[in-house]
Amino acid sequence: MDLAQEKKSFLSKFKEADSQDSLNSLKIQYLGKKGILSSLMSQLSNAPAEKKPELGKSINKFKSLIEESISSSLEKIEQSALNEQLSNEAIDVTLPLSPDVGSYHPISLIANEISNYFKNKGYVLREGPEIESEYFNFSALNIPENHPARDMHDTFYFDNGNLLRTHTSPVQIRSMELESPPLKILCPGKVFRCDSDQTHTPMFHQVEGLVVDKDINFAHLKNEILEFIESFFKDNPKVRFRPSYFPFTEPSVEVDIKGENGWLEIMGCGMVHPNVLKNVGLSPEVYSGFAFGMGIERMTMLRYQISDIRMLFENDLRFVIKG
Amino acid sequence: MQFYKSDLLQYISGSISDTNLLEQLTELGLEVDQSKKEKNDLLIKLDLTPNRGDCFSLIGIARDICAVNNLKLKLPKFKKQQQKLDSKKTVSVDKSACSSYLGQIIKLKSKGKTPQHIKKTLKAADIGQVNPIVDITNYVMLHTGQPLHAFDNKKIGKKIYVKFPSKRTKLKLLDGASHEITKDFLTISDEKEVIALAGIMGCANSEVDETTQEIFLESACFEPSSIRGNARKLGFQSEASLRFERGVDKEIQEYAINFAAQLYAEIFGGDFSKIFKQSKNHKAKKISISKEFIDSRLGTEIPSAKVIKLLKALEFKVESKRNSMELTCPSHRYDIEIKEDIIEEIARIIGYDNLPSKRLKLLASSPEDTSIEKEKLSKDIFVNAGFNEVINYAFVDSSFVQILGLNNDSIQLANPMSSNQDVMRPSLIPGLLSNFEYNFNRGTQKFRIFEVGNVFTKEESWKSLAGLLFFDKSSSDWSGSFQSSFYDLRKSLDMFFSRLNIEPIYKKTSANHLHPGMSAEIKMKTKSIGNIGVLHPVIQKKLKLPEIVLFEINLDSIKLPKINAIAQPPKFPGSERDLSFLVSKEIPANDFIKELKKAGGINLRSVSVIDVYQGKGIDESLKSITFRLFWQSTGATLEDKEVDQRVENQINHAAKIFNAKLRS
Repeated sequence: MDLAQEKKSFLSKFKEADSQDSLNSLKIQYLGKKGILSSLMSQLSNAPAEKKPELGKSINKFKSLIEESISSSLEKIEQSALNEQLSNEAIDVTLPLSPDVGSYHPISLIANEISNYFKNKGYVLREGPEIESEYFNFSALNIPENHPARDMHDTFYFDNGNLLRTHTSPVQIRSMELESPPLKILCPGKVFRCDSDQTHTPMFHQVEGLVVDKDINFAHLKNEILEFIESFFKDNPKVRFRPSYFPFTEPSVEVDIKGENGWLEIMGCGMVHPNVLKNVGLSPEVYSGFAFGMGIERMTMLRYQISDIRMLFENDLRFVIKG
Repeated sequence: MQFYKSDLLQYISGSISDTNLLEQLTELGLEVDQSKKEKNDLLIKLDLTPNRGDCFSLIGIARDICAVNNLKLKLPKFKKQQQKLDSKKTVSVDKSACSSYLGQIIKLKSKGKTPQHIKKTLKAADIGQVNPIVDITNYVMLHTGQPLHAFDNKKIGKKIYVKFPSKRTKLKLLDGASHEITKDFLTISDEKEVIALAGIMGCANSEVDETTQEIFLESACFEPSSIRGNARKLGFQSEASLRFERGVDKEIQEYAINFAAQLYAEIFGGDFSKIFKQSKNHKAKKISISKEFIDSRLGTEIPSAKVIKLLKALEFKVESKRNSMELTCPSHRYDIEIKEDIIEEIARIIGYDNLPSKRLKLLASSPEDTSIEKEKLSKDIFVNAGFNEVINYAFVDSSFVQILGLNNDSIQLANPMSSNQDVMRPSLIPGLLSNFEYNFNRGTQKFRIFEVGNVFTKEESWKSLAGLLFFDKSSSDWSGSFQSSFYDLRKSLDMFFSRLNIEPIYKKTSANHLHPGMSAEIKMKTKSIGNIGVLHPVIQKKLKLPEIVLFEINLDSIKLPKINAIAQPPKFPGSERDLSFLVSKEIPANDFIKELKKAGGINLRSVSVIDVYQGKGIDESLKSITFRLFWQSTGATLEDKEVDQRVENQINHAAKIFNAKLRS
C-alpha cells in the first residue's frame, strides 16, 4: 500500500461524505480494527529499519488528519442539525395569556393594613360574635335602655331579644372580662345597622382599638391616633380633634382630617368611661384607658376614591383591585 | 338645632366673625353640619350629640361661645306680669316624674299676629308656624330650651294632674293621630281625661286655635327617665320630647314662663293669673376633683388658676380645698355627673388640638386569636391560587335559601331592611351564587371566587369558607388553561388542605344543593367539615344557572398546623412499579389506595393514579385503574425481591377486598 495513494483516496472520499452515516463509515474504514490505518501500521514492521521512524511519523500524521477531518465535519453537521431543530421548535412568545390573578376584597386589604400597623405596635387581634346580647352591645358600654344614644344605632333585632352588634365595642367588654390589664387589643369585624344610602350599608366593617393600664392618658391617645394617620394617609394631612359624645368614652373625641373639600370625619375615640371599667370589674381609680374605632369602608373609600359605599358590596369582578 | 347667628348674638356681649364662630362651635363639640349665608345673616345647622340637651337652645349655645372667648353672657331679665286674673286651678304632680310644674292662666285681650322676628327664628329652626299662641311657645323654647305647652283653658278642667294613667288609654294627639298609651306614659290630665302626653305632645281635646281667648300655659320639668323612649314607641319625636329626653335645665321654668308671658302681653295684651307651681327642691350636683387627677388624665400639667377660670366661665361654682376643688354644677348641664366629665370640659375649652400628645410606651402581649390567623391564611392561600375574594351581606333571602335546600334552621331578623334580606345566612353559597349571577349577566365568563365569613343557624354560628368555580367553555382561549370541572375546584381545595397539613377524606354523599353523582362530603376523621360538588341540575334549571362547582367548609373545625421537625429525605434509591387493575366502577379510588397502602408495607412512599379507563374493551360494570407505586427505605437500598413480595401482597389483598383483577 502506498501511503500517498491512500491519502489521496481518503481526501476524495472525505470530500464526498456529507452525512453523519457516511462520515462514520469512513471512520470505520480507515480507523477501525481492520481498517486501512492498521494495515499501514502492519506494513511498517516490514519496512527497512532506517525508514521506520520517517514512515511511522507519516502514518501518525495521516491518522491525525483523518481523525480531525472527520470529527470536525461531524461537529459541523451536528451543529446544523441542532440549529434546524431549534428553529423548528421556536414558538410565538407574544401569544396573549390570561393568568388567574387572585385578589383580596378592598375591605380586606385595608383591614389588613390597619391590623398589621397596630400589630406592629404591640396590639393583639381579637374578635367576637356578630350576634350579640343587649348587655354586651349596649348596657355594658354604658348605653342604658331608652337612652337617646341608642338612636345613633339603628339596630337589627331577633325575636329572642338578641341583636346584630352595631359596633365592634362589645369585643372590648368581652376582652376585658377575660384578660386583665395591661391590655392592648384590636378588634376588626362586621357590624350592622338598618340604614342604606350612598354612605351607609346595612352591614359594614369596623376596627376598634383598646388600651387599658395604669396611667393611660389623653396625650397617649392623641399620639397613637396622630401616628396612625401619618402612616395611613401618606400625604400627611392636617388633623383635627374635636369633642364628641360616645356613652362608653369620656372625654370623647371625633377625629377629622383636612381633605380637598374641607374636613372629613375619619374616626371616633376617647378615654374609656369609668362606668365601662366598673362594668368589667376594674377600678377607674386605678386603671384608665383609651379606645378608638373607625369604619373600614370609609378608609377604603378614601384610599381608592370610591364615592358610593354600596359599590363595595356589589362584588363586581370588573373592579377587582390588584395588590 | 338650626338658628341664625343674629339670634345667637343677642346673648353674647361682643362680636365674632362668621368663620371663627363656625370653627369654635365644632371645636366645642357642637358640630356644624351646614351653614349658609343669608341676607346679612348666617344660618347655622348644628348636629348635636345626645349629651348636650342644653344646646337645643340659643342661650345654651351662647354660654359655650362666651366661655371659650371669655365673653359675658347677656341674659335679659323678665319680670312677672301683674297678676290681676283671679282664676282657680289646682295642680297635683307626681314628683318622681316631674320635678317642677308651673302653669299660668292668660286671658288674651286681642287677636295677635306672629311678629316677623319670631317667624324668622321659627323658620330657621324648621318649625312650622301654627298660630301666634303656639308660635310664642316654640320661640321661647328655641331661646331657653324649655318646651312650653299652651292649653285652651276653656277646654280643660280646674284640676290638673301630672300622673301615670292607671290603665291603657286611647287618645288623639294634636297631629291628628290616635294612639293607645300604656301605663308608662306620663300624662297631663284634668278631672275627666288626658289632655296631653307630658313632654311629648298635647291632645286634640285641649288644642288652642285662632278663636282661643284664654290659655293655660305650662312650663314644666319632666324627668328624662319618664319621657325617654315613649315618643319613639309612638313612632315619632317631637321638639319637646327631644329636649326632655336629654334633660332640661331644672331652674329655667320660671324664666321661660315669664319670657313667654311678656311676649303674650306685648302681642296680645293680656290678664295674667298667678303662677300655679308645684316643685321639689333639687340639689345641685357636686363633684370633687384634684389637680393631680386632671393632670394625670390629660397627660400634662394645667395650672389650677386656668382650670378654675375656665370652669367658672362655664358657670361652675368652684370652691378650692386643700387637695381638691369642690365643684357645683350649673343646673343647665344635665350631662355632667362625674370627674371625667369635668376633664372633658377642661379639654374642650382649652381645645383638644391645643393639648399635647405623648408616645405610649406600653407593651402588652397575649396570644393572638387563632381564628383570625386562620382566616388570614385561608384568604392568602385562595388569593394566591387565583381566586377573587368577595364580601357579601350576612343576611340573605329566605326563599333563596329554601330553593337551595340549604337549611331550615336559619334565624329570622325581627326587623329586616327588606324581604330579600330577611334571614341570617346559614351558608355562604347564596351569596356566591348571587355574585355569580350579577357578574355573569355583565359578561364575566371566568369565575374563581371565594368568601370567608360567619354563617348562622338557630343553634350556633361559625366561620365558613366557600368558593365557586365556573368557566364558560365557549370563551376558551388558545391556551385552554382555565378549566372548571369538579376536579379543578377540588385541586384548589386539596392545595389548601395540604398547606394546612390536613388530609381530609372525600366521601360521596350529597347535599341538597349539589349534584348527587358529582359531589362529596369532606370529612376529617369522622367529622364532616363541608362539601364540594356541582350545583344540582334541578337548581341549575330553576335558577337558570349553568354548571357551577362549589365548595364550603367550616373553618372553625380546622386547626392551624403544628410545627413539625423537617424529615430528612431518604438517601437510598427507590423502586417504582405500575399496576393496572380491573375493578367494579363503584369502588372509589381513595378506598383502593388506602388498601394498597395497607398491604404495601412501611416503605411504600406514595401511590398515585396514572390512568382511569372505562369503555370499549372493558365490561360495563368495571373500570380499569392504573396505580404508580413508589417504595423507598430510609435505611438501605431496597432489593427487587422485597418489592416483588410487597406487590404480590397488594395484588392478593386487592383481589380479596375488591375482587380486583390484575390486568395483563
